Amino acid sequence: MENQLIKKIVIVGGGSAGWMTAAALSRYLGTHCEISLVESDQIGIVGVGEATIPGIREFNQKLGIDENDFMRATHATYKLGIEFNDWTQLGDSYMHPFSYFGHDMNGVSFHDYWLKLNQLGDETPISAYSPGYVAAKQNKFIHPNQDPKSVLSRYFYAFHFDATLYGQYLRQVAEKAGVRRIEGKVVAVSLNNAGGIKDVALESGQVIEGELFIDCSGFRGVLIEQALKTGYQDYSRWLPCDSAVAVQTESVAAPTPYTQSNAQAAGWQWRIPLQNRVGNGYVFCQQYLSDDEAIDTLLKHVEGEVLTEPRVLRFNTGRRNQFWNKNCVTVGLSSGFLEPLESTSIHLIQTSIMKLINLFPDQGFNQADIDEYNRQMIEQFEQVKNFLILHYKTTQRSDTPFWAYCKNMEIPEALSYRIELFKKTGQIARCDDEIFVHENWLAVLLGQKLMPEQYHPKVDMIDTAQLKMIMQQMKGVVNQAVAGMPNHQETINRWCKS
Amino acid sequence: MSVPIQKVVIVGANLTGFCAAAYVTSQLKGSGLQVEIIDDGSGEYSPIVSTQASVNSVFQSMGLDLRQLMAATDAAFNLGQAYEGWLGAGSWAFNSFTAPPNMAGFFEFQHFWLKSMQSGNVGDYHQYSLAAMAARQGKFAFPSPANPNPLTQLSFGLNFNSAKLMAFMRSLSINAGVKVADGTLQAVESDENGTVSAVLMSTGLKVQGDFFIDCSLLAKSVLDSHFNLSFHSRYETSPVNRTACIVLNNQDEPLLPQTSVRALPNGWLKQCSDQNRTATTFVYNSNQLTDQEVAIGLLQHMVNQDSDEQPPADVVFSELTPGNKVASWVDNCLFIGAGTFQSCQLDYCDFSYVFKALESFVKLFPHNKNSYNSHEYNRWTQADYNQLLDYECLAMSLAANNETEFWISLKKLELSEAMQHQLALFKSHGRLIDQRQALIAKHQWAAMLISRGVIPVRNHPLMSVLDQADGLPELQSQIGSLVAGMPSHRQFLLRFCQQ
Ligand SMILES: Cc1cc2nc3c(=O)[nH]c(=O)nc-3n(C[C@H](O)[C@H](O)[C@H](O)COP(=O)(O)OP(=O)(O)OC[C@H]3O[C@@H](n4cnc5c(N)ncnc54)[C@H](O)[C@@H]3O)c2cc1C
Repeated sequence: MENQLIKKIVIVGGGSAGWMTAAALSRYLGTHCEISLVESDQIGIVGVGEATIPGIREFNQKLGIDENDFMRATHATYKLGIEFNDWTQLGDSYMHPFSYFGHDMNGVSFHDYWLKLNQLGDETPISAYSPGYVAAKQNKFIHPNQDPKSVLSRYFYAFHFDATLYGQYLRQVAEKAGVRRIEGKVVAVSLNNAGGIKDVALESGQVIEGELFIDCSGFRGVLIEQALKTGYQDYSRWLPCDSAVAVQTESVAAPTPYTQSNAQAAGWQWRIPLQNRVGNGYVFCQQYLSDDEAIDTLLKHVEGEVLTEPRVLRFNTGRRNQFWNKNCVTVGLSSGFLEPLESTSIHLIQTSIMKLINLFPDQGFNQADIDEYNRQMIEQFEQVKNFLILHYKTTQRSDTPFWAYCKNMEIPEALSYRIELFKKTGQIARCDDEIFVHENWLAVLLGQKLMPEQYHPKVDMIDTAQLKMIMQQMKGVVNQAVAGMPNHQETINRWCKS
Repeated sequence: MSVPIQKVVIVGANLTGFCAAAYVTSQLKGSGLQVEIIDDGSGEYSPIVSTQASVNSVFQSMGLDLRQLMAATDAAFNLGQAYEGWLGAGSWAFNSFTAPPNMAGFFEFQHFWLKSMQSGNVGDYHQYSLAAMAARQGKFAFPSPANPNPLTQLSFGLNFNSAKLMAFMRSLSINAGVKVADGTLQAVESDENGTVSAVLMSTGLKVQGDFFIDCSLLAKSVLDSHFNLSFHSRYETSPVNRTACIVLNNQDEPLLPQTSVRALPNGWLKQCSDQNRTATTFVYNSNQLTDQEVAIGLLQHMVNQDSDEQPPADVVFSELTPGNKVASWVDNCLFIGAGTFQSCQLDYCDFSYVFKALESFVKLFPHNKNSYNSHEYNRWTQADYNQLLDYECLAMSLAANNETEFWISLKKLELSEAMQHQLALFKSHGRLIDQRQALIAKHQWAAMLISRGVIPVRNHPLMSVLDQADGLPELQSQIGSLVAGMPSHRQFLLRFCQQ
C-alpha cells in the first residue's frame, strides 16, 4: 500500500504549546517528516502558565525528559495540590490535593465513612486522611513510594515552573530531534482548493508550505480563526472573569509545595512559588473591577519585593467550535481558554497533542478521525468547564456583586445534576472524565462545604466504635508517614536545585 | 424524614431472583436487612447461562470460591466467542475476553497486525491470541505460578448449568436467612405518592417491604403495570424474534471453553456448554420460518453433526424482543433480568448484565423509599443497554451472507450515529472510539469488526515510522508452544473441580 505519510508539518507559535507540540511530534515522527516551527520575537509569548497538574509527568516521560534535569533548568518546585482560601466564605480554607482520602472499605468510598463520623460530631476534616494534604501543609515533600501498601503511594505530584524556561527547554529537545525553527511573523495565510491551509507567508517574504498545520499562535488563532473562521463557543456567562494582572515577586520564605488561590472581591489571586521567585496574579472580571483596582489589590496582597511591572492580560473564556478543521489542528491558547484556577491549560495542551498522535492523519485527512478528535476535545473542555464552574457556583459569599452573581447564576444541567446527586446521596456521578475523577470532585465538593444528606447505607455495617478506631488508625498512619518526610526545600536541594 | 430500607422483597423465585437475593444479602451481611422472595412461578430461563470475565469479581465479592462454585454448578470456562461461517463456509474467528498483548504502549494491537498484513506475511487475527487458539483446540489452563508469563494471563467467563446455579444461589440465600413465599402476585398496595408498600398474592397473603426487586420474566408484571413502565423495543420490526433451543449431553465430545455463534442461511446458531450438556439455540425470524421447519432443521443439524441417532431432546421455543425498559429503577422498585433488557442474542452473555445491574444497585443502595440514587442507576444502565444494543446492531448489519432474505434484511439495519462513526473510523485506519466506561473493551470491538471482514484500508500512519519489529511471528510461535503444553479443558476441569 502506498505510503501517504505527512511529510511537512508547520507549527505556528513558539510558546509552551508550540514547543510542547514540536517536541512530541518530533519524538514520534523522527526524521520521517519535516517539522518547522515559526515564532515571532516581535510578538513574544504570553509568558504565564506556571502551575501544572500531575499528568505533566507522563508527558515528560513520553518525551524522555529527565525530571531532575528539567526541574533544575526551569527553577521548578514540587506541587501537591491547590489551596483555596476565602472561596466559600471569607476565612474558609481547603485544599484540592492530588491525593486519595483514606481507604475505601467494603466497596464503599472512604468519604461515606468519614461522613458518618462527621454526622456524629467528629470534627476531623477529611483532609486529615489525605497524605498529600498533610504533607503539603507541613511544607514537606518526598517522591511517592512505589509500594502500593504504603500510604505514601497514595498521592501524586506536579510542578510549578518558569513558563519561559520550560518553553526553552522543550525547544532544545525539539531542535535536537530535528525541528527547524524559523523566526518571523506570519502576515498572510493562503488556502488550498479544499479550503484548508496551503501555506503561510512571513513578513520577510518567505513562504512556508505544509501538509499539516498546527496553530499554536496563542489568543490570536492566526490559522484556526483568522484564516479558517472556525468560530468560538463563549463560556463567559458561567466563568465571567476576562482579565488578569500578573506580577513576579522575590521569595521571602522556602517555597510551599502547593499553589494558592485566594478569592478576592471580583475574582481570585494566584500564588505560584518557584525555587527563585514567586509568580502572582489576580484573575478578575472587568465588569466589576478596573485594572487599577486589580493592580492595587494584587500589590497589596503579595509578599516580597516586586520584580516585574504588573502586566494586564485579557482573555475570552470559551473554546473553538472545532479543534481540528481541515488540515489545521489548534493547540494551546488558540484552541480556547479556561482560567488557570485548576492549572488545566498546559494539561489540555498535552492532551491535545497525545490525541493528535493517536489520531494522526495521513495525506488523505479522514473526516472520521477529525470528528473523533473534535468529539474528544470538546468533551475535555466541557468537563473542565463544569469543574471550574463548581468552584464559583457553590460559594456562599454575596459580599460583592461579583460573588453574588456567581452564587445565583444558572449552570449547565450536567453540573447541577452532579451537585444535586452529591448533596442528596453522597455519590459522585459516574462520568467519562479523563482529567478530574472521583477524588478531585470530592475534594472540591466537600471543600466548598457541600455536605451530603446521607452516607452509604453499608457504612452502618461497621460498628461505630470499631469505625472510630479504624479511622483513628488511618489518620495515625498518615501523620506518622508525613512526620518521616523531608521538607520540600530539602528534597529540592537533594534532587533538582537550580 | 427518610425511612431506611429494612426489608427487600424480590419478586420471582427464578435464577435472577435468587442471584439477586444471594448477592444483596452477601453485600449487606450484618446490616439487619431482611430479604423475602416471592415464588410467582415465573421460572423460565435458558438451560445454560454464561457470564463474561468481568462478573468474576462479583463472585469474588460474594466470598465464593471459584472451585466450589464451578463444581456445584457444572460450570465450564469460557474464553470468548467463536464466530463460525461469518466470512463464508468454514471460516472461523474469535472474540476473546483477554486483551491482546501490549506491543508498544501507545498503539493498539490491530495496528501491528495490519502492519504485518501490509507486508504480506501474517496469519489470521486470532492466531495471535492465546485464548483463541486454546479455545479452538478445547484447551484451558491457569497461568503457572512458576512461570508468570503475562501472555498466559487469560481472562475467562463461566458457562453455568442454570438449574444448578439457581439451586446454588438459592441455598446461599436460604442460609443467609432469605424467606421464600409462594403465590402469584395479584396486586400492589401503595401509599399516596405511589410508593409501593406491599404486594398482595393470590393466596391472600400480603408481603410488606421497603424496597422491591422485580425479577419476573413477564413482559408485563404487576409492578410494571403499577408504574406504567413501558418496554422500548429497539427495532420497529426486529430482524429476529424467536429462538429454538435444544439441549444434549456432551460427555463424549471435546469441551470447548467458549460460546460460539454460527451463521446459517436463515439465522444463527449459538452453542454454549457446561461440563455435561450443550445448549444449541437457533435465533431466527418467525416471519421467514415456521416452528416446524426450525425444529426439523435444528434436529437435522444436530444429527448430522453429532450422531446417527435421533436426539433425545425437545425443542423449546421462546419469543425474543430486543430492547429495554425505559427506566429500571422507579421509586422503591428495581427491575432486572430478561423482562428489563433483551438483546438479539447474537453476542455476549446477557446474563452478565443481571450481575452488573446488581453490582450497580448495591453501589447505589437506596437510603430510603425515594432515593435520588435511582437517577444515577438509570443513567448507568441506560447507557450500558444502549451500548450493548448498538454493538449488536452493528455486528448484525455486517451480514454474513448476501443472498438470503434473512441476511439481506440485516444488512438494511439502520445504524446509530455512534456506530456509523465507529465503522468509518475503523474502516479508514483501524481506529476505535475512545470510551472510558465502556462495557465492551476496545479489543473486542476490533475482533468483532475484523471477524466480519472489516479490514481497514490503511494503517495508523505512525506505524510506518515505528522501527520496532512487530514481533508477530515470535508471538505466534510462543502461543503455539503454550497451547501445546496446555491440558484439555475437560482434563483441567476434572482436576480443578475435584481438588
Ligand atoms: C493569566 C494566565 C494565567 C495562566 N496560568 C496558567 C497556569 O497556572 N497553568 C497552566 O497550565 N496554564 C496557565 N495559563 C495558560 C498558559 O499560559 C498557556 O496555556 C500556555 O502558556 C500556552 O500558551 P501558547 O503557547 O498557546 O500561547 P503563547 O505563549 O501566547 O504563544 C503564542 C506564540 O505564537 C507566536 N505568534 C503569534 N502570532 C504569530 C504570528 N502572526 N506569526 C508568528 N508567530 C506568531 C508568538 O510569537 C508566540 O511564540 C495561564 C494563562 C493566563 C492568560
